[in-house]
Amino acid sequence: MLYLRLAWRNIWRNRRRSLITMFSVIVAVLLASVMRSMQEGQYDMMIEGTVGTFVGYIQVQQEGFWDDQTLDNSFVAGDSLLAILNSEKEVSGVVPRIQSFALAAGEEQSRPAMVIGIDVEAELQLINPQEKLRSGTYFSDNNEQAVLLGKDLLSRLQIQVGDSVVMLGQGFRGQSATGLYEVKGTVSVPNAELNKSLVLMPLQTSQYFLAAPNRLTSLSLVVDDPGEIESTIQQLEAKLSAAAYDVMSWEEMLPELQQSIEADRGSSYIIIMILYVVVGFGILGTVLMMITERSYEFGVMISIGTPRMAIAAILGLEILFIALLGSGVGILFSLPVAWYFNINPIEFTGEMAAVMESYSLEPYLPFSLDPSVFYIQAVIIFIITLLFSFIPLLKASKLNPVKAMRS
Amino acid sequence: MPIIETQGLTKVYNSDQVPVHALNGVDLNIEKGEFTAIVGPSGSGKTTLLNIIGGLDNPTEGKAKVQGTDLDTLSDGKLINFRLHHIGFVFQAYNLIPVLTALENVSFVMQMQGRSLEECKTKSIALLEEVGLEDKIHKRPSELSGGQQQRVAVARALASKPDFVLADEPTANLDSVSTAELLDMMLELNEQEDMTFVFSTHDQRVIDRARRVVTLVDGKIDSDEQR
Ligand SMILES: Nc1ncnc2c1ncn2[C@@H]1O[C@H](COP(=O)(O)OP(=O)(O)OP(=O)(O)O)[C@@H](O)[C@H]1O
Ligand SMILES: [Mg+2]
Repeated sequence: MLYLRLAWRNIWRNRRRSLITMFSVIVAVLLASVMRSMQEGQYDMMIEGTVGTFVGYIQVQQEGFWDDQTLDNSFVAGDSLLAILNSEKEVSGVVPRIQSFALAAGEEQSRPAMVIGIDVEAELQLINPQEKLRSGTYFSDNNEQAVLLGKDLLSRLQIQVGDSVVMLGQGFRGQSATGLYEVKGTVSVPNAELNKSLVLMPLQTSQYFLAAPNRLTSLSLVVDDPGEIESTIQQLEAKLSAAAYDVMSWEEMLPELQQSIEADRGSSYIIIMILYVVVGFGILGTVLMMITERSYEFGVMISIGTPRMAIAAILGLEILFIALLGSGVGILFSLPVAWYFNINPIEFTGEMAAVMESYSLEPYLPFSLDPSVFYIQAVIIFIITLLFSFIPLLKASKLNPVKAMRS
Repeated sequence: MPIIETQGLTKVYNSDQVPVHALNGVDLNIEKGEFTAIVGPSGSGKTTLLNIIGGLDNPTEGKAKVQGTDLDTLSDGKLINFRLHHIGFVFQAYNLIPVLTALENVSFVMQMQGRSLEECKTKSIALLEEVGLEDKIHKRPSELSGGQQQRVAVARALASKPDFVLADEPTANLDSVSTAELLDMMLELNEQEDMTFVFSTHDQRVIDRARRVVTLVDGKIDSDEQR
């Protein structure tokens, strides 16, 4: 208490210097948190664009499917499995799929294709092909003998919407798979490769085509709060541990996306670190000045019996007050900025907008309001302050009272 | 047993090319209740002697004992704690912590001794009354005159209930009125509470009122007169 009071009052002894030091912290924290808020918003959107609207945050698959993605690793989703999945409180939807590779052939051209059999209703929660239609119409039921093609696959096959396409492949347990389907339309998905190879089929039609009635390769789970993914996976793994299922997170299924986000985050941390190291030197300068101009005072204090640790503690508290007050104010200022751009996302125009639209991403960039974006800045400032003031504080506490009072 | 006892105290500074013998074998005993002035020309070793007796500096040779404790045997941390409990200090100037009020400055040492806040407060107020500053207890040092600051410093020195008070030229920065007032007060504390004072001074008016005058010349005791 005594030391806290001393430290607090000491800050205001050299008001201008304290305020300048605080100001540098405020500016750095403000810049860093607004920048991070923008980036996290961008990552959220990238994840939402590919994971939230395609893969799903969580998938349940037959054990071993991920490493050997063939129909032989497909499964029949029994009522008990569906009951477990539906009873999970964070899971708001279960989207069944069967997927396999096949050859798609038009009159002149044929191309390798990724066939995904989808539940016409349930899939509206994930891929939502209706929204992603470039031309034509969506399926009307799960038995319709029709397909939707990736927008670039259509042109590669040199056919039109309304034409027929022949699908050739291998079905369950090596049976042959063939079928003739009407092209009902094209879709654009946020993945250039898929746009060149995707064939969407109503679920039962595809199960029939692949000679795998009732079989699925995955159940994608719709999770409303991405923050609950970890815990949901853990709970499901526990409940499904006896059965032969794998519960996969999007990070496991899309490691490249996860890695590119991590890499980008890493490079932004380097920039922020440089910013904070500059601030750190400012703090160092302030600490050194505090020590030099008060060495007589510290000499008196040590003479009359103040423990050396107390000197270091008072100085440490002073500089921490300045630093943390600065980060607090910086965060306070950055919140309305992030808030504003969360509600009124930056809108991309021109080329950037075109690029984003080609990936089916909305050309908007809403900022993230994730609390960790902000409080982490205060944590970093705290650590930087400790790092930069530790040695001077130690030296100050070692001061010889006689020497300090002679000068 | 004397409160302060030095034997063959020698201090040699080697900082410049020529070694400086600041003290040259000082044997000095000070008993409880004494009111002792250390006098002598500039550079004669007064500050050096007081610093060693106060446990702020080490002798090159010889011993300094306080209440029988050889200060040289204490570790740095123990020595700081020893000063906190046994020795009161008054320096020439800037004794006080600028951001604390008179009351807080006095209670600071008591709080460090771990006494209750209640006790610290009542005792500090009593001490400030004793030095005649009852109307200034909430003033910060910058709002006090030099003489008032020195009186707060004396109150603080007494607050820790020390064995003795060391004062290195406590009146050097004061005008003659303040000097007389401070000395009156110190003498009163000496007489009424039997507090031991050891102080250095150049001021003849201060020397005249001391009960014992130890004169240093070139780091040696030149004369030691009781009055
Ligand atoms: N840290 C030091 N390094 C080198 N020499 C020192 C140091 N401290 C004191 N001296 C020298 O030791 C001698 C005694 O100094 P001291 O300060 O004890 O004298 P003093 O009697 O207090 O003088 P004054 O009346 O001027 O205060 C002086 O010659 C001084 O220059
Ligand atoms: Mg001196």
